[in-house]
Amino acid sequence: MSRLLARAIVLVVGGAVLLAACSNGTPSSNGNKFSGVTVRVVTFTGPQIAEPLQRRAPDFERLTGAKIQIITVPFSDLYQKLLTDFATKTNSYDATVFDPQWMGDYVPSGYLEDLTDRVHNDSALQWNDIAPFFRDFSATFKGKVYTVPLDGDFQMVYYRTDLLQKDGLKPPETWQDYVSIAQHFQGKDLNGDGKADYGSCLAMKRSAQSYWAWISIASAYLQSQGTKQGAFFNLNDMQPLTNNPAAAAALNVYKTLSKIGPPDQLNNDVGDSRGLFVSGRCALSLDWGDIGPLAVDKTQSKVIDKVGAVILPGSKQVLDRSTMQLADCNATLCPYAVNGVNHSPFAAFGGWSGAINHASSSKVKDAAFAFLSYMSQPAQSSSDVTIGKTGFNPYRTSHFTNLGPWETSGMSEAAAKNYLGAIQSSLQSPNMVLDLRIPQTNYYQQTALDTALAQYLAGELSTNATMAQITSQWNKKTDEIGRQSQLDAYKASLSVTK
Amino acid sequence: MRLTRRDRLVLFAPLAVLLGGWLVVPALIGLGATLTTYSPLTTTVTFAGLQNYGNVVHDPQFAEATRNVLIFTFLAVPLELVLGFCLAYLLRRPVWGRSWWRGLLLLPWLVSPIASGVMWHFLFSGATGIVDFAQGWLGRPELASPVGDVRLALPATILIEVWRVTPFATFLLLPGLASIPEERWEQATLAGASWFRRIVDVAIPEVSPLLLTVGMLLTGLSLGTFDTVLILTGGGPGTATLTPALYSYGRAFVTNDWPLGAASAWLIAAGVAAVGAVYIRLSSRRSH
Repeated sequence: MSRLLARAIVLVVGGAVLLAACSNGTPSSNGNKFSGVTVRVVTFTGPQIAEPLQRRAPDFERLTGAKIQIITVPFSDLYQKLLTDFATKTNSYDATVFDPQWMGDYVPSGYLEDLTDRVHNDSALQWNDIAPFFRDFSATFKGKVYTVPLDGDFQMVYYRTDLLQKDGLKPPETWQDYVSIAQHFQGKDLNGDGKADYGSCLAMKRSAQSYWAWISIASAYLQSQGTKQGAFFNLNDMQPLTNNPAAAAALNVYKTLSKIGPPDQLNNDVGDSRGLFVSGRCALSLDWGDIGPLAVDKTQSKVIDKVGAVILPGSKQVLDRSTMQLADCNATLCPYAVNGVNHSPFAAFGGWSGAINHASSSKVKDAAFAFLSYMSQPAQSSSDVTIGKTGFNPYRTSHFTNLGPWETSGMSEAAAKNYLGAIQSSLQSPNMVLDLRIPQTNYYQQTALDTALAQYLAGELSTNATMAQITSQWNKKTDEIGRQSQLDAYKASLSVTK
Repeated sequence: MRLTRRDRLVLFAPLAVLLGGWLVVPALIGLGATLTTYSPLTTTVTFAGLQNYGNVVHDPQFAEATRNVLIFTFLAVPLELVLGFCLAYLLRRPVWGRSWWRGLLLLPWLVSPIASGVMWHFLFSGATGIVDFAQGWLGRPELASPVGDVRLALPATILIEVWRVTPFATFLLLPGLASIPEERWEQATLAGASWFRRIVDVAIPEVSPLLLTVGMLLTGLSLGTFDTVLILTGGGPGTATLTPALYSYGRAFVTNDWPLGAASAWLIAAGVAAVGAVYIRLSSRRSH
């Protein structure tokens, strides 16, 4: 009898465990849970971002029986492909790993699935382990969750620890410091190959990812009153903050830096500047988190354990919104200043995130969510964020507290703490600058801003003409779409609960 | 055998279906869109008349792009024709390793424009480029990539396109030159004509209709220059290498202003059609 009872208990407990596992939308639940279900996931060509998806898809397929098709398109085509696919109801993609900035266009049209309940009901996803910024801003639109974060994006400054230490220099605190350090090292041999190297390496190519660097510089001058102040538009009338002494100061820094670097810097994209930095040819660079893992990649780095990272440099003068003039920082004007320097770390891009097509069938949506959840879970993401070629940067609390995977990747404990510390100081800043996320963000940034900056660097436009051109084009687009609706969207994008 | 009208219709039908379904109909829909405010992001579509064309024509970026493509065409096409003709002239007779030379020369044309853009970007690059490597090997200071220099970007882009397209011109001209009867060359040689006079008096008259056709084809290709520039420079530095096709792509696919993108594309098509009209006029005058 007791044996029968024991068997019954085992059966009941086993059944309960199995049931619990089945109700949990994670791949560990059942090897055939999604048997016969095909999920078509579109992302950009990469190899970054696509690589971890392609590498982990077979494991997920074995665990769940689902078939994952990773479709890649060039980054420049991704937004349009998705939009066309959604708008024409072709629905050839069930899920996407994309730029969360595009939610401003996709969510109001009803193209993306609301994931709020799913993320909260999926214990394996460990939603609360994801840093608040990525949960509350990057993944959320008007209070609802639409994406699963797979990447954490902040721009930071990287510097050569060996060079600065040798010359008794401190990492840059302000943009003036950055320029001075760059000038100090420009033309010197920084990697022992007998060739003159560069003080700073930045991406400045047209039609690429360069304009984010200018925003990173401008943020320090434009926003000082906290995240909700915003760095792009005036919150009263949606007037662009691109034609004032603060924007002019940022343009001047940008132009100066275009001359303190590689001679062909105007044609360099981020891949080029990263390559130059990890080959030891630059003293400074400005980039997302990618340089950290790349710098310890033994196959390409010549600066292993010689790289430090700091929060974006700031400014001792900021834009006083009441006078629209530059003014010295004080307790009122720069409440978050450190040593009199206003830092405004810029969450450029927001981090690659996974979203699901609202029009897909419910079974496919379940499988798509399970795949995105699987990619984000700490078991997978903790090692993915330490690999340079994935393009994924840390975004979970556990990514910052668990140093094991970083040390396994080749980073020393000190280097890992330094790198993660720079990201954390950005993440924890109350004055973080959020990237633009309003309808037709692409026009404001990739067309109007990018073109004017390219013309400015090429000498086709003066500082004043550049500011006037950006402002006029932004205003024209705002009026075309509707000033009030754009203002509402902009305000909504800044309402982040931290 | 003489083909009847019905035979011709049957033979042309597959091509007509293909062109109609995948070229003419979409192009006409695009033409219709240029007269509206259509966009995948707007919920209402209104008639805009010729406003989109007006916006394109008055856009300083489009003016810069047009200037660039005209310079591009006026320099690239004659260079491609002259070099293509010279190479075809050299290859018209059996020479040692002719097949090998032909295959080698065809390689640049076989490389896709995108791959060509990527390749030249890295060849010119200061950190990894072969040009810089050669400079360093010769003990000379580093050279900036010409495509990163405002003054050199367009000439460099033109040279890259000449490198890519010249083999195509060569292989179009080669059959024409190879078909000139040997006696014509011998007569000219016996008459004491120099190699230059042989080219002017024998070769050019024989292949001039072909030269006109190839010239017009290359002009059409140049006016639509897009892929190499997109990858190589993105239209920069500044607007130094922006072309109308790149402008059209940017408007249509980066900023989703489809009517503006389509309007600029139709203006390019009008330019190419004008070149075609000149060709037809010149050909018919020649045949008369």
